[in-house]
Amino acid sequence: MVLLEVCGEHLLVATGEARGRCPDITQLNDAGTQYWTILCEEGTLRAALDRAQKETGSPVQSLLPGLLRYVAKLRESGYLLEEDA
Amino acid sequence: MRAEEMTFLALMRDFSGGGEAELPDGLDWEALYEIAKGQSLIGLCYVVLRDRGASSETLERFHPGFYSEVYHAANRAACMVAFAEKAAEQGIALLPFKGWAVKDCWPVPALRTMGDLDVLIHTEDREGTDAIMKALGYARFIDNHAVWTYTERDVMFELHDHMFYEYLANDFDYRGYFDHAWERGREPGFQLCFLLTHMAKHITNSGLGFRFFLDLVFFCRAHDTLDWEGVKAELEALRLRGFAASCFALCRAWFGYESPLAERQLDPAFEAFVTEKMFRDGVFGLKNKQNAAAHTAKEVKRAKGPYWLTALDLTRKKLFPPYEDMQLIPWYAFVDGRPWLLPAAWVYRWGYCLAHKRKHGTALLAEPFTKRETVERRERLIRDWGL
Repeated sequence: MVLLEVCGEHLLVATGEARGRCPDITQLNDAGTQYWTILCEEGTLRAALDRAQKETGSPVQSLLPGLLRYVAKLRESGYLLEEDA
Repeated sequence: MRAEEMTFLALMRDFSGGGEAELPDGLDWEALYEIAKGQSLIGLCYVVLRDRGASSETLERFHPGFYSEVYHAANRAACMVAFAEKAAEQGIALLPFKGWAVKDCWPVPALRTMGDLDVLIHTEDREGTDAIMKALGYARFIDNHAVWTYTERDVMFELHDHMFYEYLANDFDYRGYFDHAWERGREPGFQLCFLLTHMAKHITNSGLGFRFFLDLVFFCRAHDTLDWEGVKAELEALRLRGFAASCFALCRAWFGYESPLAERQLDPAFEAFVTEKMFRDGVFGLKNKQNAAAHTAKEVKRAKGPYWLTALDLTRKKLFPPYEDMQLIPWYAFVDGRPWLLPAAWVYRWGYCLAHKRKHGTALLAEPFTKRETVERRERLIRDWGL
């Protein structure tokens, strides 16, 4: 799975083993792109939440519902596997 | 030229930095989409249309094509990396060429479409690369001396042990020349000569689309410190200087790109004819019936004797193809390495053609005589290109 920026569009592309497990390509908005990047770089939900809190200055309780919804959507579409989440 | 064709040219010109495209009212957007599809340039059109304020309805039509190109580009890249890593582990050298070698010169590499990934290998690495590709899950579906093809889902590799193995409409040894790819394959001048030779091959055999000319523009922009006099001398040796002049003169006419190699003023009739043909040919010239008799025309152009003698010789070759040609055709693979089986392959071929395509086979045999006018017209076109 790779996140690409092409001509101003942020696109999550299924490559390798991910092909067929999730949509071939999905466009992410700015928030989605930021969350995806943080999740990939931090590796766990807890660490991603901490980093999002540091970067945005928003309290954990306001960030958590949005991040959980996002992760659930990614899992539902096949972008995240149980162990990833 | 239709308004949609003019707009398509304007979109390519815009993308290549030649000025903002205007989108006229009343355009048949579906016709424009079909042109872009035929030229494998939907993503390019989408990006320019989006930046020039096309309607959301129009953008919705082009956007899936843009997505598709990005998806394929990402997967090609992932597959190339996986192959290169395995090859490096085994000490096998690879030299990607054609689309892969030129894509990074494009303003947006993902929009440089390609049907397959062409990679040069050493002949002695055939078995090694074959094992790697099979281990990576690829299926090999064509097997001859020239190129082995591998597919896995929607990714296709072509592994060549020669960069170029055909002849053009002259007697120069291009195969021998491009066999120096391992020493010179990363030199921009050599790469440019290869791009032009590859284009000459397509024009001689069938035709090609605008994408090849965009390759020239972006490649030259990315290597603007090239030794142009050296390139001209090399093209002269390759007998392609006149052809290069035609190509770059067309790049000037279509995209406003000025090149030191555009050493020719275009004849307006030639420009109009070629532009129209380019639209009809699509990306590789495979759809256009106008390209019939291309092979015969190439042989006639190469021959030095009178037409009737060349025509007779062509018919003889069609009836008794030489071993060098037969061994490359998958269904006559049994002659490969066994030239004494050639007469059996001829008999099999005659029998098959008589049983399954008698009409087509007879027409093909008689083509040099029945289509003389077409052949000569085609030969004149090859000459007009400077080939």
